Amino acid sequence: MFKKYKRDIILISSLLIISLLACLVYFNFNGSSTNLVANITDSNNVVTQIDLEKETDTEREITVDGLHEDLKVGVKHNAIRVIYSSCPHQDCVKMGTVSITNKPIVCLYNKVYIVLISNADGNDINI
Amino acid sequence: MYSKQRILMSFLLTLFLTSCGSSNNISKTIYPFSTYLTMNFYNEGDVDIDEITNIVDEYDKLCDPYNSYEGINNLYTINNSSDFVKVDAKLYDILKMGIDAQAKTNGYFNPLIGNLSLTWKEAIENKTLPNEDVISKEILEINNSSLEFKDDYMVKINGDANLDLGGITKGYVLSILKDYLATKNITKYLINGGNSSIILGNKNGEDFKIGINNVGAGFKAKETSIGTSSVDEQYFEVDGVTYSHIINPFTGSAVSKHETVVVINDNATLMDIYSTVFMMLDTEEIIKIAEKNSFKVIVIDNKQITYKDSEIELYV
Repeated sequence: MFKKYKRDIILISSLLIISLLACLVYFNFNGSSTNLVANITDSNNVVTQIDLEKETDTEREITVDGLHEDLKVGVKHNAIRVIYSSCPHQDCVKMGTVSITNKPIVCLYNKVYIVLISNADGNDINI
Repeated sequence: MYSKQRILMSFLLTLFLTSCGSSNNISKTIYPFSTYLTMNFYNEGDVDIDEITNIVDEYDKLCDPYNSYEGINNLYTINNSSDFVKVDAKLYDILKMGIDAQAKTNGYFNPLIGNLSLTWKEAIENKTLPNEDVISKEILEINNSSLEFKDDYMVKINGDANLDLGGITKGYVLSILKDYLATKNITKYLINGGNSSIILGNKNGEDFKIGINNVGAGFKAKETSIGTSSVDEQYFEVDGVTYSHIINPFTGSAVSKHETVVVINDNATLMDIYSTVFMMLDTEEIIKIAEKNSFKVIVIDNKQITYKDSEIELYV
């Protein structure tokens, strides 16, 4: 019986091994990473991710869509801050530079939410 | 020669086995209650995010003590009226719960703390201590005021104090959302209200990993609620003393006894209330209340965990 279905067995086994290898490749590239990433949610609820691990120690400025006015945000190696916002209380600016995961910078006035995440600690949330 | 059917079947089988499973994760951030609310749903295809947003928006308007909205009698309306105000049943229920919470916490939770809260909010913004006479006057107002209820959802403040439901609203609304999600059989979610009121379903069947800032540790949890209060959220320092947004309604003080308190239980409303109340109590008192109510608690002082319920397993 084995001889009769030998080629089928070899074929199916090969396909299963290929599938397994494909899964391993997929999860390796999309699984855990040690990069610190900034998730920036703008006033349109569009999320932009910036890999802060790849930033240099020299801060560069980016613009984020705000509800009333765009925010100026500074990004550098594993750190981020709001440089300018038109909000009246300036809480987001006063927060200063954040380099801790899951400690959000929030501008309620302009509806911008910035949070750092990292797959190094694997936490879903930090309180 | 292999048959064409076999080759076709093999190709289809390969395609099936190697196709990447795409995750159907939905996220949205909204900004109610002067803070943020992030909602994450994991592989839940039928989540009506707009309906959930509408539920939250409704409570946001009802519980707003600083703004009026056309056609809505809300907290602002009650605060600015000397007579009975007819309110929506939802607001009536929260107010009733607030009064119950005041009794349960022996007054450490007090919904009539509005003026005192505002004074300290301004102090934090200006980084200047408020006038002690103002604090004394506001404590007197609180002590001489009460909330009165009548049938047909009528509410009135007797006295000069004002309402502020900041210590209960997020937790209460998250409780509402938790019940709503249960009716829709939605179980895979994490909803975070300002990092202080959190409800957890599960993460594709698994626990969530909850890190604790400043102590380099965390715990796993699912299908529960977490309430957190921390002086790190909003504070300023004068002469080495930290003043935060957590106000003692008896003394008017904004100096907490602890750095952070984390409370875990199924009831999101109680978690919101008690995480704040516990910041004003000694650890021994916290443990007594926690044991009586089946809360699991973590207390942090000077960036160290000074108490942890034995059932909470930490990972580093």
